[in-house]
Amino acid sequence: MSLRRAFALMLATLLLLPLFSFVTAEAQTAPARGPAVDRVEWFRVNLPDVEAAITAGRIDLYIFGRIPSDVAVRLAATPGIRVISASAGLTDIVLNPAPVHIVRVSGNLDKDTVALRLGVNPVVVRNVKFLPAERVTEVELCGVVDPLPAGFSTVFKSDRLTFNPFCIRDIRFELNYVFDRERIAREVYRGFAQIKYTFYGPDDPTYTEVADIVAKYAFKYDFERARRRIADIMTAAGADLQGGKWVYKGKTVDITGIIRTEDERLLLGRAFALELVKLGFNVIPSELTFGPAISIVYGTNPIDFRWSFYTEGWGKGALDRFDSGNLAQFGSAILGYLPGWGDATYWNYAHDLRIDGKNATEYAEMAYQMKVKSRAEWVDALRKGTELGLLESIRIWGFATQDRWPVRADVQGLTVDLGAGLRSPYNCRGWFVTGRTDIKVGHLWVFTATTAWNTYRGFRDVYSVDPARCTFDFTFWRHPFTGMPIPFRARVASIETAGPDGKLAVPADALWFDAARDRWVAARELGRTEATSKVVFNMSLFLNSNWHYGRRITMGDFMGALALYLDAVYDAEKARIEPEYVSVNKPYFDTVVAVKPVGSLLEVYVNYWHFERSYIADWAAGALATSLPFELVAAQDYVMYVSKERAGSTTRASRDRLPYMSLVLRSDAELVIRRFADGNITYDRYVSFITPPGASPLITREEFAARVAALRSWFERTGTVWVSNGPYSVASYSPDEQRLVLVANRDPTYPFGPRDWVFGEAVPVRIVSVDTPLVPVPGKADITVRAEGRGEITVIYIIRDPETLEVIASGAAVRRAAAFVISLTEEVTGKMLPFRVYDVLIISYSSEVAVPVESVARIQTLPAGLVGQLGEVEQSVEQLNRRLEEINTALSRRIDEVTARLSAEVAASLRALSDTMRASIADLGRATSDSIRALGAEVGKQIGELRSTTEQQITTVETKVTKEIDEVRQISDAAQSNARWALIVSAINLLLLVAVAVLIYTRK
Amino acid sequence: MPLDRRSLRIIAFRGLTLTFTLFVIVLLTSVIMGATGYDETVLKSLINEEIRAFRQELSRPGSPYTPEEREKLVREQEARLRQIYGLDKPWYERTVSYLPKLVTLDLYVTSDDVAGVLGLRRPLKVGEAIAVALPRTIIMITLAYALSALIAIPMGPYIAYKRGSLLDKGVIAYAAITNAFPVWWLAMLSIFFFGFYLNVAPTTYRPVIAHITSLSESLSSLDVASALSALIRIAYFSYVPIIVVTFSTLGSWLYSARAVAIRVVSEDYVAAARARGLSESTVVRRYVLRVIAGSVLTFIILGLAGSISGYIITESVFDWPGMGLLTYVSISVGDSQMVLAIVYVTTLVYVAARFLLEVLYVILDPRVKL
Repeated sequence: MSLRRAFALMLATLLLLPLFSFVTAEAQTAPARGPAVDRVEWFRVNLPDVEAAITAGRIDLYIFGRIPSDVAVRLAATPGIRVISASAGLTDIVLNPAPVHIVRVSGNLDKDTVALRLGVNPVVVRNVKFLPAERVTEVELCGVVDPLPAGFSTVFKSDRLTFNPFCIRDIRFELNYVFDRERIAREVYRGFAQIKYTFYGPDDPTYTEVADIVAKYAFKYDFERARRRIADIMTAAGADLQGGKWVYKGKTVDITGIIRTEDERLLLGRAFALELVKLGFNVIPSELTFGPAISIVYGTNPIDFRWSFYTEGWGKGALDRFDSGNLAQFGSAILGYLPGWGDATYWNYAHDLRIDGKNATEYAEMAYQMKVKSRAEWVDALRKGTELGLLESIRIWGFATQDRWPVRADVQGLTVDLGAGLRSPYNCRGWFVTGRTDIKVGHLWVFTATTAWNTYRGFRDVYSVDPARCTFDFTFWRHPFTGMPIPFRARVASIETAGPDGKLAVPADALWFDAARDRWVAARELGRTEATSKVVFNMSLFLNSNWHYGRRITMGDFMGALALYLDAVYDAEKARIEPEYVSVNKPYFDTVVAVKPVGSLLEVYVNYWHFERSYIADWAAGALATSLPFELVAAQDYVMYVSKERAGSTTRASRDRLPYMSLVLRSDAELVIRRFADGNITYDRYVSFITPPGASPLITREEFAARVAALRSWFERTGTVWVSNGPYSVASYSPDEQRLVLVANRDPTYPFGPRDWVFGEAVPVRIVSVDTPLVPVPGKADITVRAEGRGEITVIYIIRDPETLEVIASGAAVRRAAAFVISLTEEVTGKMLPFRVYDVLIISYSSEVAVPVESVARIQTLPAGLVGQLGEVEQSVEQLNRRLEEINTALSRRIDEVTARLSAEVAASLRALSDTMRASIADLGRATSDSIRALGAEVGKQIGELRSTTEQQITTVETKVTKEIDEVRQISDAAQSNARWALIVSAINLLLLVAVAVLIYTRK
Repeated sequence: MPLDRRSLRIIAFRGLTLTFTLFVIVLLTSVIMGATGYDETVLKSLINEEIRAFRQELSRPGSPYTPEEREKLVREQEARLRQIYGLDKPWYERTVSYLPKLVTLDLYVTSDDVAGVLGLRRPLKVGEAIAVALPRTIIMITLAYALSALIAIPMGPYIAYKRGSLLDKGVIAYAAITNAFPVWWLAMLSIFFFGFYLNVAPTTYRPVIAHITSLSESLSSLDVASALSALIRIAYFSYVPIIVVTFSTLGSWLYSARAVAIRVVSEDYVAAARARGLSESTVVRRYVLRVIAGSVLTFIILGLAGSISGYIITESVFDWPGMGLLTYVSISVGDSQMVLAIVYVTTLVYVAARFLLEVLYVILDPRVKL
């Protein structure tokens, strides 16, 4: 190397040195791989201590979202702390619609005939049902009929109530008007709640599909309306209002209210109970905590009438753009959430209302289980089911409650997930505090008896799910602002579908695990020749990286785990051991037809169709989800099914009295390590699960042995055998201390950096303005909406009569230039009345934030002719305005000219004036000074004279006063002398008087 | 001190009576839980919750089950759960069958909530649950009771002696005030004051469980160093709770000891003893303490026996899962086997304490001797 080259190299090194130091500094503040912080400590903080703990800095955030609203309000106002909130819960009042009397009569009779024969108003008859086997009609009655006419027999008669008003659908519906949602949202929830009229509301992206249905039932508090209508129904049913109380058959109409006490539902329930009292019902409130409350409401037969209403609360899952779960859960019987709860030994609510021949449960099945052919059909089912739910009013909906998560203000890198809030798995990947390398997380619990970290039927509570999500990466997850499925660590190479009706051919080399023979076979061998959809995943982000203990992730991990899970479902013996796992997972695996690994690609064939392709990919991704290395899935399999030392589900744990397996607990980890060490969990036992037909095992024997050794070291270091692939690994877990420590995964093969999953806060659409013209009736008019937001914005509108809540029109606004235009056609305005005000509900959302925002504007209607005349007037006014503007402009110009000229003249005058003034002031100063001096001399002289005069006068006065005093003194002396003499004379006189008196007395 | 035959007969009779009482109480509890349908209602609601979740998972999108198939699976699962929780048997068969096993505490906790509150998981025998909860309560409540008794017993007669003095009035006021303030409220204040404000005590007390477990393990393996270390940690976690409970119970103890002593110090024989010129301490020791010993022992022994039931809310506030919380959760979730075990153990301790008292009365009370 020449001297010149060496010198050049040295110079270059010197120049590059600062750059290296910069890179190092950057690496310290923002790690290249893994999460933003090195360590996350989770520990239990009880709810009453949260405020003090976060204020004192003991925790950086509290991830359990149910802190009381007053604490949340206080914390939000505390400097250095902010409160993140997201709609994560629902609150409603469920009503007991059970009949008090069930009778039977022979033959197949309709409701009116039955009422006529019973001699009651048809409103008393809740439901009639023909029982073909017995050829009788079973009749549910809301009031006791006593005595029964001939031909009727009693099946059931309540000994508790004679009348149940909530059995009558119209009364239930009217109760919507006595639930003062606005006041409760304001005063009880203190802003941490959104009003809901049904199970879909503005907290939910799916709401946009049913908003016009919901708009028809935007119940405002109207006690008088409800009182009047309920009174009419009660009277028709045969009840009497006596002394303000409803009486039926001589007994008061009793309502037993079960009111939960732990949260805002206490005040909400009391308010509702009070309204019922005002309506004339005899309310017996019962304020209870969770256990006693649910034991009554869900643990007793509705016809026992241990409860009449109950303040329900529900947690919400992740945001879902196309969510039919709410309809299925709250409006239908398919999930067992209607009174009677699907318990065959209880009376169960049966729908008595249909739209187009179907009831709410039938629509829910269509929407929830995708028994539809198109998006339009799905939306139609959802809309009809929702309307039926509203009309049946089994639940009086109140609020989407917001969970509250306090976070110290210096915590950055957060994603405010609109569905999961702070609990979103994105958060732990990005959170950090500048200048620190750790985060302290408070949770209500870290360990409970049902907190289990196992991949079979574990992870059933938030205490395991929340931290575990920081330790593994998903294949697919939901977007935090849109609720759409998005690829996380798997990448979608392609999606093909022939659905909903067609089928794709499954290739000959696609595989399926034969649980009967415990090996992979060609799928076609098992008759798996066609599938509805095919999704190809690129798994390279997994396959090019390591598990936490340093061993490489392989396709064998995915294939092996899938094989073991399929075996758990389809192997008859295993199914008998863990039936709960089978029941829950079989429906899913039944839709998976075959898989085919090709290099780093994995093809998944499924019998599943959705009108959104990303949902198909999300569905197929379920087949390749594994968060543990193969040998750990095998270890779980061994201790659950072979040695039967642990249970994978709570059901089996209870049945067989086995511990519920949790790989983070030392005892279970020890067991797993022991079973590896004593040669029970071996490569040979499980090699068939990772061997495709005619191919080598996807994990070699040597690799298996190396993994077991790595696992042992891992256990010795952490006390757990939870090894995964995500941004953090488990460093320690102590159930006694309720403490869990996670440390960052800094493996250079880990694909994600600290900012890769930070979404920040959603920027929802903002409705800037709504320009509403006068609407001619009939005629045309355009309403202009200006909305701002990121992504593609959609604006939908609903025009509604504010008094009757009748929806006149609804639809999507058309984008024109920078605004959205709602064009009211003659057909629409023809449905309106002149001289009326109509509501225009504007609902807007974007492709980036699916949770909608709502705004209400009002339009004024006028007769078409009048609008024309007004239009002419408006034109004249506009012309006049234009003329005025011209005059104004000319005038302004003239004024400016004059002002300029005047300014110049004034300036010149001011200058002259200034000079003159300056001279005058100087002269004046001099003159003033002289005058003051002269005045001073004169004043001095005058003061001198005044002083001498005053002194003379004082001397004179003094002399006079002295003289006067002397005179007064002389007079006083004389007076004193006279007084002395007078006293002596008086004394002598007194003595003489006494002497005279004595003499007179002596003489007597 | 040898006991005569008559005394032994009396003691034996009392023992039999107390045993019978224990049996009746446990039987009544089991009948109350079973016959009223309380445990069945609670267990059924738990099953319903599980069934609803199960049904939801069976009904998720893409489910191949027909409604009939789904219903069949749900029923099978329900039957399994009913069997697990014992609801497939009538209440008398279910609850009465527990009684023989209750003697050896060979029953199982049926609720995860009960196991969870102790920081454990099932399968868990009721005896194990009590064995875990009891030391925690003893460390906090019983120790505080004992401390209160130690202070109150010598001070009570002294205060009674100084009846009407400033000290006497002060104790009366202190007793009234501490009686009025709930212990849990003081507990909350103390957490904030010592923990968050002064920073001299923990703010989370749950980790004490780990140290109690560690102490127990160290003692069983005779590892003195570890035991000492665990003991120091336990002391760190328990000193605030002990201070709080002692502070709040001491007033009642002092007042009771004073009340018992007041009756005695005004007796003629005490006045006579003082007139004979005996020292105050001799009078108190011989003529007051000896006489009130029976009553005081009753307080102490029954108080200590009662303390093992724990404090429900105070244990909650300190997040210190002992007997109080165990009882509360067991009743809330209708874990009848656990409830029966708790009733059995607490009654047994009470009965044993009463029996001990019966024996001690004979030994200590001079009137019994006469």
